[in-house]
Order: sequence, then structure tokens, then C-alpha cells
Amino acid sequence: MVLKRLLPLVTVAGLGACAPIPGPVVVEAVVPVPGDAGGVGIGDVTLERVLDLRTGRGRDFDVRGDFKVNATDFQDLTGSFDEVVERIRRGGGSDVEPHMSFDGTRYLADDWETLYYFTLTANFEAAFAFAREAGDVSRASSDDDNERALVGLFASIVLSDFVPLPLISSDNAAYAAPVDGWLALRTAFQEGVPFGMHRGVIAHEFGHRLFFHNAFSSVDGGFEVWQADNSAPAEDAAAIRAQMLLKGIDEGLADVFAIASLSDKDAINAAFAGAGELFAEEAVRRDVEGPFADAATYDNLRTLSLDASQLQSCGLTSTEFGASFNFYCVGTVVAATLWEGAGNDATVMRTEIEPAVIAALPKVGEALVNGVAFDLDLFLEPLAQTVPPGARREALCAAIARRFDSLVVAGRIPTCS
Amino acid sequence: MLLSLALLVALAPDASPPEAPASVDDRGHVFVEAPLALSAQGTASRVETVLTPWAGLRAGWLSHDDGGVFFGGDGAILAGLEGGGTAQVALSKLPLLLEGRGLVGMRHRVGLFAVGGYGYGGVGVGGGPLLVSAFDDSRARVFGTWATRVGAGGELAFGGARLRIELGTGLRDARFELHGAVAAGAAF
Repeated sequence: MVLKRLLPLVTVAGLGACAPIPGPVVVEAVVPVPGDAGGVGIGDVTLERVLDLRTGRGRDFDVRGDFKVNATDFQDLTGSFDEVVERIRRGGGSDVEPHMSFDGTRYLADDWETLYYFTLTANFEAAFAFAREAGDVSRASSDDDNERALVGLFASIVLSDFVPLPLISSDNAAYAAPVDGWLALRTAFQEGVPFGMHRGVIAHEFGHRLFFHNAFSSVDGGFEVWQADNSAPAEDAAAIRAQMLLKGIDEGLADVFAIASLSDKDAINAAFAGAGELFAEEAVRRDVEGPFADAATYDNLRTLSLDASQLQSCGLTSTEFGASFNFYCVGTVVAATLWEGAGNDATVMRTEIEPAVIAALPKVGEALVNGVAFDLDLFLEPLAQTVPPGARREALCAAIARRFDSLVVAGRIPTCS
Repeated sequence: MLLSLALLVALAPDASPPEAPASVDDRGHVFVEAPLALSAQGTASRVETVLTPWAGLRAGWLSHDDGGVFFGGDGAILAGLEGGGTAQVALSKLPLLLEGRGLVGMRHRVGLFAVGGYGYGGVGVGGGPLLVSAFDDSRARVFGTWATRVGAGGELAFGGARLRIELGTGLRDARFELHGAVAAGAAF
């Protein structure tokens, strides 16, 4: 009886089999527990869009091993977007080598990294699927062979070829536009669900790709604006302010995408809350119904009239939105506004707000191409316009008025004035 | 503890006259030792290296315990420990490997002291329990494993006691692996 059960457990690598394993294919992974917000368990998940589970190739993205990004490469962003990506990817690493067994119906991870790989792949597939469902038609969720994203498994950012000192190598996941891909880093000091395996975190990181392609690369002249913005540090206060707010809205909308994608308001803050003391402050800051989100507004951050300790945690002590500003703070203000605009309803966030966000983002890029310095109204006005008139728009405008009063009063968000 | 036992056993023949080992040359001799090993293997990301500690018990037979060329074979049971993750989300496994090897080498003996070198090659099969856990949820199963190993070793002997150091390479579950071991034991 025991032998009968063991026989189907074929160690795939052990047999040296080399035929591709395309989707749909069932794997055992760390998955969200339905009905348990923020909870995870072990479960079976079907990977629909992998082209070969054995190598990490996929229709939407390739998971790659041995992938490093050289920080010095970011200093040269010249050329078209495709040229930049090709140059900085430097060949894009190598195929992954999962260590797995097949039990007759599903693939099982035989080591930790393979479990990480299965989980990460499932989470990215979910993010791609939701982006399409929410109406994204940009390169962000494209499955064109020439626009395929890359996920560096246990990737790292190193200083340079000559000094391969890892600058960032653990306890994080990140989207890097110059490689049009994500770095999923190894786990070192954090607790809980490793960030690279957390569905909310991966959705957040996907949100950055969604932002980049909808606001920049899809807009005529948008990529050039992004290039100029990222090729040299901003020098004057106005430019620094605009950069900080742009980074802030990028972070806030990434949180919105995570909340909408998982239909869970705790999609992001739960990841930090479970990760240990090191991340406890961030967990509070990113909670769209938490004390920070409740108190912070665009205006009390801008005028330094928020509680002193909260201002300090946002890096705001003397200058408004300067180089030391923790732009995640304004990100939470944006995310909390949209959450409130959705009536604190995750389903509304998923079915109405996120599609409106995606539709509004190209307007941001168009304004920037026209030389307008970024401020939040460049996004909030087209967002309000995109939401159909009626109760939803009223709720959204009320939330916008509560946190962006000065912009509304100044008539810079006319749809809500 | 195994090491202490092995050393106690190893010291026992010291009471015998130095010429005692020669009396068993014709039929060879057996040995028992406790290896502690470390293997290094690449992972899915091709970035990390998994270091697996192993401990076990090995017994074998060698053609003689005198100077000159010798040959023989041994068998071992080795237990390893692998895993990764956080305290809440993790995968851990306990591979058990039954290994058989052939050895050939050369030894130089001066009285009770002997120094030698040898090469070895072998195969192993086994399996063990594997546990995947995420907070309160977990799934356990058994897995199979196999290995082939070749390498070289050096030994230092005093009477019946011996200390061996090995370095080798091979495949485990079709993945390239490096391994090293130190073993203390006794020959009879």
C-alpha cells in the first residue's frame, strides 16, 4: 500500500527528463486562504500560462536564475525602451533549475527555492490575469513574445561588474523599469511570508509595471519624459517635489492594485505586519484604514501640520516633499482616498476603481509630455472623470476633497469642485 | 557521542603488540567510522548554494592494514538536513542515504603510524520525510533521492584508530554536487 503511494512520486530531475512542461499544470505552493484575509496555507494551484515549468519560461513572463542588475548600468538610459531593456538585462540570466517531483497529478517542490519559484509564478499569473480583467491593454500585461517581462529569482542588485558588491539582495521584491522586470530577493531577516512569495507584495510590484507602461511607455513621448526624469537627479525644489509626488503615487497605486487584485484591504499591510519588528512601522503606515491613513492628508503633509512624530516618520521636518521625504506616506494618502472612494468595499475596488485607475493613467503621461510639473491633480482629475457620474463618483470626490482639499478648492480637480 | 565511542574502540587495539595487525593481513580487516560531511549543491535560482550537513555511520573492509596498495569497499548510512524559509513558512527535509563505495589506495606504515591516500567511487539511494509548512497548515510526504560520488581521501592512522578526510564530487538527484567529509573510526 505504501509502495503504491510512493511509486507515482517521481523525482523529475532525477530521471533527467527534459521535455517541456507547459501549462496548465498543477503545482503545490503557498496560497492565500479563501475567507481568511492575509492568511496563507499550502495548496494546489494551476499555472495556466507557463510554457515550460522546468526552465521558467512563460507566455507573460520568464522566471530567470542567475540574474543580477548592475547599479552602474542605470546611469545610461539612452536609446529606445527596448534598447535600454536589452542592454541592462545583459542576456537576462539563465533558465531556472527547479528541483521537483511529480505525484501523478501535480508537481511538488523538493527544495525551498522551488517552492518559492512555484509560489511566485502563481502570484504573478494572478496579477497578470487581474490586470487584463481590469482592462489593461498596455505592455504591462502583454503576452507578446517581444514584450515579455522577466522575474529574477533570488536576483540581486550589485554595484558593478568590477565590484559585484550586492547593494540589495534580501527581504524584498522590486520592479525595475530599465529591465522591465522584477527582482524577487532571497529571504534573510524577515519573518512571515517571504515578500517574494506574498501575493499582495507581488501584486503591488506588478502595479509598478502597470503604472510605468500606462503612464509612460504607452504615451507618445512618455518614455522620453521618464528617461529625462531618471537620467539625472532633480536639482531645484520644484523638480524634487514633483519627483517625490510621482514616486508616491506610483507606490500608492501599486497598493491599490494589490488591494483590488486580492479583494483584500490588508493585501499589503498584512505582509509587513507578519514580517516582524523591522517592518512594524511600515505595516501601520500602509494600512488604508489605520491611524496614519486616517490622519494624513496631502495638505497636512504639505503644510507640516500633521502630528510631529508622523511627520518625522515621513521625513518631513522642515521642507515640503523634499529629497528626504518618505514618498510612501503620500502613497498611503492616495490609496486610502481610493479605498474610501470605493466605500471601503474590496469588490468595488476590484470592479470599479482599479479599471478607472488604469484608464486615467495615460492622462498623467500626456500632461507630463506637455511639460506640466507633476502634482496629484494630474491623476485625480482624470480618475474622477473616468468614474461614471453618480453615487460612486460622489463618494470618490468626497474622499478626494477630504484628503486633497487645497487642490479641490483651487479648482484643480474640476470634476470634484 | 558516536565519535567518542569510535575513539574508545579505536584505542582498544593499542594494548596489543605492534605486530598484531600483520596477523590479519591475509584476510584483510574491517573498519567502522563515523563520518561528518558537508555537501554543496546549486539551487533553482542558480544563485544560491545549499549546504547540507550529513552525519552517519560507515563500515567497510580493506584488503590489508599494512603498507602498500590496498583496496576494499564500504557501506554507510548518512542522514542530512536541508531546508529554508522563515519560522512561519518553510520547507524542510531529512534525506537518508544508503551509500556503497569501492576504494583503492596506498598506505605507508611506520610502526603504529600509517599515512595513506585513496580514491573512491560509489552510489547511494534513499529518501526521507519532507515537510512544507505555512503557519498552521502543513503537508508532509516522503521523497526519494539518489547520488553518485567519486573523490579522493587521505588517512592518518595510529594503531587501529584512524582519521580520514575526503573531498569529492558527483551528482545527487541529477544535480552537480561537491562534498567533503571527515571521519574518525577504528580498524579491527
